Amino acid sequence: MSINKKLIFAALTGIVFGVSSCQKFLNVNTNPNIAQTATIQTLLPAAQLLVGTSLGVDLEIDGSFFAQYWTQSPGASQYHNLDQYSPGQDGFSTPWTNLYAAQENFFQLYKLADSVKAPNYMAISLLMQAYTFQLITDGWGNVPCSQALKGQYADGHLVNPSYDAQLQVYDTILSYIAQANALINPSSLTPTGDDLIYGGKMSNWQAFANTLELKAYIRISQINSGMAQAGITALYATNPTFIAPGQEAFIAYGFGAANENPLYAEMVGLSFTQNLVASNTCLDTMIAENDPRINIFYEPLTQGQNNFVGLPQGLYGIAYTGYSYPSVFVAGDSYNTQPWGTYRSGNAPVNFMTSSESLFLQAEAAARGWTGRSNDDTLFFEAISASFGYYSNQFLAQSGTSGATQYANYIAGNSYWTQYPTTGTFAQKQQYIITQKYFSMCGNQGFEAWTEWRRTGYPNWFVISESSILGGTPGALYTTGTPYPRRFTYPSSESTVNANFPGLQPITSQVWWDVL
Amino acid sequence: MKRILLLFALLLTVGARGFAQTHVVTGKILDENGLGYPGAGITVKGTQLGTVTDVNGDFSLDIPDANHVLVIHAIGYAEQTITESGAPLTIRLAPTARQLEGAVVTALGVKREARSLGYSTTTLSSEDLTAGEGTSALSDLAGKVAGANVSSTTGGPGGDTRVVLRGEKSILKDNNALIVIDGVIMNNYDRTSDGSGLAQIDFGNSANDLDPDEIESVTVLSGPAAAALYGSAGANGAIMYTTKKGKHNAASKNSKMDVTFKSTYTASDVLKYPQYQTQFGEGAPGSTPGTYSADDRPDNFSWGPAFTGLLQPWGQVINGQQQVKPYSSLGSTPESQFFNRGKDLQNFVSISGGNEASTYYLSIGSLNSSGVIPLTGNNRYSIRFNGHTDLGNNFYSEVNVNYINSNARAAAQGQSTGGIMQALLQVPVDQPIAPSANQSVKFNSMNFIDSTGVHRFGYAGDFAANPFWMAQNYVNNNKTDHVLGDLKLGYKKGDFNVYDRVGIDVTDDRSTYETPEYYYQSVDQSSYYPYYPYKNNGGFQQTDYTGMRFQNDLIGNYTHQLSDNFGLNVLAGTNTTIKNDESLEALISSKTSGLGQAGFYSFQNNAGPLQAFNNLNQNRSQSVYADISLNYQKEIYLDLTARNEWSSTLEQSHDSYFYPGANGSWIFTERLKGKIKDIINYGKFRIGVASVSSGAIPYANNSAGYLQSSINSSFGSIVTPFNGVPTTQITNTFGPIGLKPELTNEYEVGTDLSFLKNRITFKFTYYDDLTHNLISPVPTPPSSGYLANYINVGTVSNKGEEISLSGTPISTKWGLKWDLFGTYTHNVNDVVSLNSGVSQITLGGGGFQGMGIVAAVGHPLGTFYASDISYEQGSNGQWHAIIANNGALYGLPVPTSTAVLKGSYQPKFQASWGTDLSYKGITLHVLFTTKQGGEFYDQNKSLMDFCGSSIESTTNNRNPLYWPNSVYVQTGTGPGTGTPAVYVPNDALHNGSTYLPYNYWVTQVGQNVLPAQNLVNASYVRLQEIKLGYKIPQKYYSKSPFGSLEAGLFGNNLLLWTAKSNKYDDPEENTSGATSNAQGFNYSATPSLRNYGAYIKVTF
Repeated sequence: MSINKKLIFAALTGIVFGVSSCQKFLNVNTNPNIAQTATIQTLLPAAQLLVGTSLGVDLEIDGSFFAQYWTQSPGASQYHNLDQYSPGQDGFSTPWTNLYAAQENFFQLYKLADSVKAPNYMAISLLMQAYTFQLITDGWGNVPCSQALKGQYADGHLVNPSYDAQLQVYDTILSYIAQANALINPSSLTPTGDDLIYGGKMSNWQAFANTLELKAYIRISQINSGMAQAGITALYATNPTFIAPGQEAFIAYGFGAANENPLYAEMVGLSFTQNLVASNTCLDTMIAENDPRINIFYEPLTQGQNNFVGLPQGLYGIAYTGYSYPSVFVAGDSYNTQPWGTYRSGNAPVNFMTSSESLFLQAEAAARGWTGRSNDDTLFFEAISASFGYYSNQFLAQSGTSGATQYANYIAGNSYWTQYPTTGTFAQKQQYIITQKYFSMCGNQGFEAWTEWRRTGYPNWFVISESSILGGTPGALYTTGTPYPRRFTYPSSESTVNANFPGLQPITSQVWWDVL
Repeated sequence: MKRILLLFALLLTVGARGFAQTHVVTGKILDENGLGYPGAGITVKGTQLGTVTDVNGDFSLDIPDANHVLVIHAIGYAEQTITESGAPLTIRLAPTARQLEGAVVTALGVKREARSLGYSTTTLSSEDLTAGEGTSALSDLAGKVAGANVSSTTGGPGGDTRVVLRGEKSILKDNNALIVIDGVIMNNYDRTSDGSGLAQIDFGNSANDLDPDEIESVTVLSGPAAAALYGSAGANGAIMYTTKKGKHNAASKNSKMDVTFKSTYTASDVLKYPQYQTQFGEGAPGSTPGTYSADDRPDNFSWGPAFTGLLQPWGQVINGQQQVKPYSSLGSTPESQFFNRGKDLQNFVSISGGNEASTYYLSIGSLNSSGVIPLTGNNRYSIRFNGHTDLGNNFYSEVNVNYINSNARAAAQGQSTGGIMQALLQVPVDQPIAPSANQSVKFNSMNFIDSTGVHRFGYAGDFAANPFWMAQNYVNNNKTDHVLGDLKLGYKKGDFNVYDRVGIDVTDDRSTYETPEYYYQSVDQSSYYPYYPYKNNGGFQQTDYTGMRFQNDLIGNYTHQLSDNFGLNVLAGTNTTIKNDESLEALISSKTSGLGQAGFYSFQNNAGPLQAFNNLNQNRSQSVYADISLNYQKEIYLDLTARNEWSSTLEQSHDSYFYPGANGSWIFTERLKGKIKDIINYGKFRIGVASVSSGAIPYANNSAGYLQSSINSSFGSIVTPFNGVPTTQITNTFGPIGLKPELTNEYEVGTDLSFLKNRITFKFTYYDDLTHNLISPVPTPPSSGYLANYINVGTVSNKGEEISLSGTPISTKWGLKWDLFGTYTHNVNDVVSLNSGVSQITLGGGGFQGMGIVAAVGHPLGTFYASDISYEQGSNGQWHAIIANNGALYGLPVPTSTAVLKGSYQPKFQASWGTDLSYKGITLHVLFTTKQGGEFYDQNKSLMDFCGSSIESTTNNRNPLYWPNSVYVQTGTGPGTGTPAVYVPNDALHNGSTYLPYNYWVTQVGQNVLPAQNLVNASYVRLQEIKLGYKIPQKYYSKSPFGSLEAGLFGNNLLLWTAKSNKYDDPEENTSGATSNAQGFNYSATPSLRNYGAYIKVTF
């Protein structure tokens, strides 16, 4: 080729570069970094873990502060704002975001399970959505529900979901449970290890469904007793199974590095700083009542000795001396090695619903006379017993004594709790039931304990935080009407973005079923 | 090559026609160094006749006998008019750096005469650019270009530089100007490690690696009118560097080679230290409010009693021993004990030459620096080859290749475990810092093995580690190999030129981060917090990035003189662009078990999970474009552009978009006659309208997909698989249906004027930009199931004025010349509208108490949204702070219930003022720059208030006082009571309540309960550049091989004056990186530097 021809050839090559064909060349906009589809077996555990993290970290800390199990250590400062009752507008934005993310995953799981004909996965998705919507609405009151989770175009592109009244959210919860009941089918495909709560055991999910239904009705029993009574009566007519000892719903953590209990992971993220210490409100009562569960829920200053020291709620502004930490059994101790066998903060479970909670709910339903049976006293003691029994292995590891023996000693040595008012009024019975329920949930179901306090007012010996900025006398006994956290505040990610946002609510405003 | 292009430019205007009666004029044109200048244009005034000089600068021209006036044009030099008289001419060109005429490089690297442009451009010569001897061709632009907002985070080697032209246009996309080298787009990759700004490591952005010595000139095209031919990429304006090229007869002494050697030594110090209080020492409040104790061994507090000058024990008790120090101030800048003097040596050699057919240019540059923080530093090596060959038969070829190798070690900023600046700020004000460098002393040790074999720390601080230990053990390295260049093959014949240019940019970047093993237990357990003997095993992370940019342009250009009055230039082309960005990040997190064996940083050494993330982004586009310009007698110009582009980032049905533009100019001085031309010798009005569209970022229109879960709480995370169970989770962002391209419309008008024979030049531009259909991941409420949705969200407006003025008050025959130069930039940015329901979009910024840096309707992009003190406006119109008179906030201001919109980071205006004095080879250059208005968030202020080291923490000598000008709410009124609030003055008369300064500074400001109180006025005046140079007259070495010899002293970023309230930091420091739009956020950045040194430059 002459130089001219070569050059012309080269120029032509350039032209080919310049105009090389279009659509195929441009067709590179499918994101290769994410999978376009998922499987039901991988979505289910992810969604369960999302709820577990919110329940185990944010709701546990917020709940355990407001339920006065825990308070801020003077040796650190992470949760000052909770004790001040001034967490700021976005103090509760992390659980809001994570819980709705969990719901979105359950929602997509439901659709996927429907398309692959897996009714048990659909049922678990519905039950978990019902459970999580109850967490959300109990925390924040009126919340997006009917229009929630449908942001994507394929789901209707509802990016400004409206807020439903709490009654509507409860209707949805009950409706999801009913739909799940109809779908549970042990002979169809069941999950295995991918169901982190029950390993696919559908009879346990059936008990979960019934207990959740009972819990929902009990929660609205004061604001709408007619609906609650009718619902519970109808539920009992089906001869339901409830969560019994051995059927507790929880996620077991700690099977590998980075699979640890999320509260422990949070403390690791905070460089092992111990922010959490025992609040005197709960601790002193347990000391006074000689409650052996103090050894399960708190740690003594010196291992093996009975020296538990707490701090008045919110009194963090003093010099640090020694305080009892929440224990490794409730993941509250940033120190991850303890002398009790294999128990560590890292492998503590996150509880969704326990058998003692189930029995306390049954006891309250019976005490109201809505179950057709007058066995509330039996259920009350079974509930306390279940609370001990749930931690029986921990008792054994600690002292060589089983939970049953510890329970027997506790009851035998305690004249107050043995005098359950079998023939008393419902109000008298409720005080017994909910106060004992409070002890059973110490640092392991803090959000539920605070929620039940909001509903019932029990225990009736909460105090005003020493650092409250809401008014009231610091350290004084709480009395009805004193400003106190009664809800979570809506995050700015809703208030500044959602066109249908109904308006901010202060932390002191009561949710719908909170009528005290 | 430049001269060849120039030849083209002249061919556009020079025609050749025969005349009957002619005579021959010969001559030689010399540049400022007395060398023959090839490619200069000579036209016969009033005709289309002309020629260009040959490689030796000689010319010969037949001209009609009736004509004797010649006009000489050369790029970079003043136009000259010569009257010939038949004798051979010798014409010396006079360089005019800041002239208004001459040629400028426009979009696509096409050179145009400045007079033909209907839009504003700024061209800087190599000398202007390097006037301050800075280390980067990007940061050296500061103060020299009207309309450019240049922000450099460090002011030294490495570090980010952000350049925004005519204001931020996009809410979430990169707003930096396009960087173009010889017509090819550079991948300006931002190597900063963390977009959140809270724990960032600043390795700089790659355009900051450009060696200024390689640059021949730079032209800044501020607006989209100028950059429309770049398409989408040019929407933010363009900075176009032209690199140096070989010259035909470069050598002055008959040699075929021209050699330049330059060596620069620079020393660097911290420019501005935070100012400490000097009244109170280490200590903390006692148990009785208002009392203070000097014994606070573990703490970071300077909340002790007033200084006594007496000896005071401090730190841990180790083996029964404790250190003592005088309880007295170490002065207002004790931090200075920690920093070294930075040192930086730059060497540069270039060789160029050529023959009649070919030229070449080869340069090698190196930069070796050590930073002010121990062990940090930056090494850069750059090699460039530029060549041009005429292939014969009207074909020509060019190649430009640049290889840059950069290695840096940088300190972590912000609150990461390796964040040295925060550790340093937490040292109490009277605690000596320098001695802690000696870690063999047990009191300074971070790894002290006690008698029982337990590892503990012996250093004084419980909350912050020994900063010297941190500098040694947190090792953050970055290594970049960057190759960019282009190949060009062209054909030109007469008025026709067509070429194909292939540009390629390959960036290979690797960052590694080592987190050392760390022991949490103090030796002294008596007063230190009782951590258990826990050990953090340390971690390791590596991020690899490969970026590829390919662009092909096929461009044809045709120039034709239609008639005596009308000239035409037509340009048409096609462009293909491919951008691939690929990254792989692997990590062993110290938060999840970390390394197996301490101190060995390898992925084959993990105790916990090894996590890895890969990512590929592909973006392609194709375009066709055309530009037609017409002129009437070179007096009136009209330019029409049009481009159609197809982008891979949009759906097929919407992926094509078209945008036109038009601009015109009128050289009205062509109409002036007589004496008025002595006053105003050049004047142009210009007007332009243009639009630019751009696509989205890759995959913006995709629906949500699924990813392996990593479930995060505020500080912790769970990494899956979980107990062997794999998981996937839906992603939280999804794309729209029917995404439209972004569209910027700009109108600009302006004028360029020269008075008194170019003694005074003035340029003014007013522009009005409106950017519509901004594509952003707009936040969706979490209750929708997703956190963001890519949509066309809204409109941002930028309006402003740019002025540059230069003048020469003194220019004497005996060689004294005094030039003045100034710019003024005023831009008003406004977020005009957002999608319904969206009141604001968060760009970034901390998150304390809901704080953000936001785009909010009716406010400038980058407005701070932060909780502040609540105020009440009294009946007299005065504002009063609202104070709590009960509860935990007793006497303290009540925070607002939500965050509120405050000021923005946008400056009200920017200006610069410079002067150049020259006398017989001695030159003095001084440049001041200023930005006025705007705010920045300063975490250092918050931390100093918390620790009690700030000056403001000494309010009222730390005794209780009433909050000035405050009120409280009368009991039983106000929110929640159903009765309107009744405000009572908060003073002794009205039973008000006092506060302890400790409570305000520690619990409210120091803990970011009132983040708005940590916003600081960002105004400054800066001595940007100063240089004293001496070109040694040639007569002293005319017999030596030296061509020229020059030496000088210089300083850059030398002095800083800030607003009085800013006792903390250089407002330009930030931890957001160059590309994030959450600017104005200083989360304890490494300090900016003042640089000064000497250079020598020799040519052979």
